[in-house]
Amino acid sequence: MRVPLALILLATALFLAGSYYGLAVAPPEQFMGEVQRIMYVHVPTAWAAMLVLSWAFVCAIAWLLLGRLEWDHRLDAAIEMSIVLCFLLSVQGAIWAKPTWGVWWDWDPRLTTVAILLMAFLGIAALRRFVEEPIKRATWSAVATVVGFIDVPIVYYSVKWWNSLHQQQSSPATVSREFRIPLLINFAALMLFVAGAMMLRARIAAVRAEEELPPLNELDGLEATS
Amino acid sequence: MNGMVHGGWGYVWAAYLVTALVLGGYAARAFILGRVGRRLTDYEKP
Repeated sequence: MRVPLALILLATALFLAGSYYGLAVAPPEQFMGEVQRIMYVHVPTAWAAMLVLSWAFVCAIAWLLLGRLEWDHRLDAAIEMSIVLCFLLSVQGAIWAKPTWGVWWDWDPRLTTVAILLMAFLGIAALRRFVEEPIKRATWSAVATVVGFIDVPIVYYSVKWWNSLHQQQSSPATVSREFRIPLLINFAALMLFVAGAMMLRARIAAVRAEEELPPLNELDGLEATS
Repeated sequence: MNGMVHGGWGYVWAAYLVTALVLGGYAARAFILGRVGRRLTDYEKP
C-alpha cells in the first residue's frame, strides 16, 4: 500500500500546485475568459482517459495471448479507471458546455462517442459482476474490452471527421506558455493518481481472485480426475 | 455582444470541485477496499 499511497499523495500535491497556477496565475483567455480555466482539468482528464483505455486494451490482449491472471487483475483496474475518467470527462464537458454553447448537453459527435464509451465500459464492468467463473469472466471481459476499444479512435477523430461543436485538438506549439504549464502539471498529477489507484485496485483484484480460486494443488487434482 | 464569455467563475469552481470529489472519492474507496481485503486475508491465515 506504500507505493500507491505515495503516488496518490504526490499527485494531490501536484494537482494543488497545477490548480493554483491555473486558477490564480494563468491569465483569462481572450474570448472564453475565465471559463477557459476548466480546460486545465478537462484536457488532462481526456489525455489520461485515452491512455488508460489504451492500457485496458493492452491488458485484454495480454490476457487473451498469455492467459496469466495478473493481466486480468490489471484489466479489472483499467476498466474501473476508464469508467471514472469517462464519467468525469462528461461532467466537466457539460459544465464547460453550458456557459460556452448555452446547453449542458448536445448530441455532438465527440460527446456522443464518449457517452458510448462510458456505456460500453459500464456494460463490461456489469458483465464482470455477473460472471462468477474467473476464467470465463476474464476472457469475456477481455473480448468485450477489445470490441469497446474500437470506439477510442472514433472519439479521437470525431472532431475531424464530422462537423462538431467541440473544438479540434490544439497542438502544444499553438498554446502559450502560461496556458501550457497548468495543463502539464495537472496531467502529471492525474497520471500519478491513475498509476497509484490502478496499482491498488489491481492488488484488490488479486486478493479477491485468491479467495475465489481453489489452491493450485486442488486445481491439479481436478485436471487429473477429469 | 462581442463573442467573449463573461464571468463564469461558478462553472470553473464546479469543474474543479467535481474533479477533486470524484478522484478523491475513488481513491478513498480503493484504500478502504484494500484495507478490508488485507484484514480478511490476515484473519483467514492459520
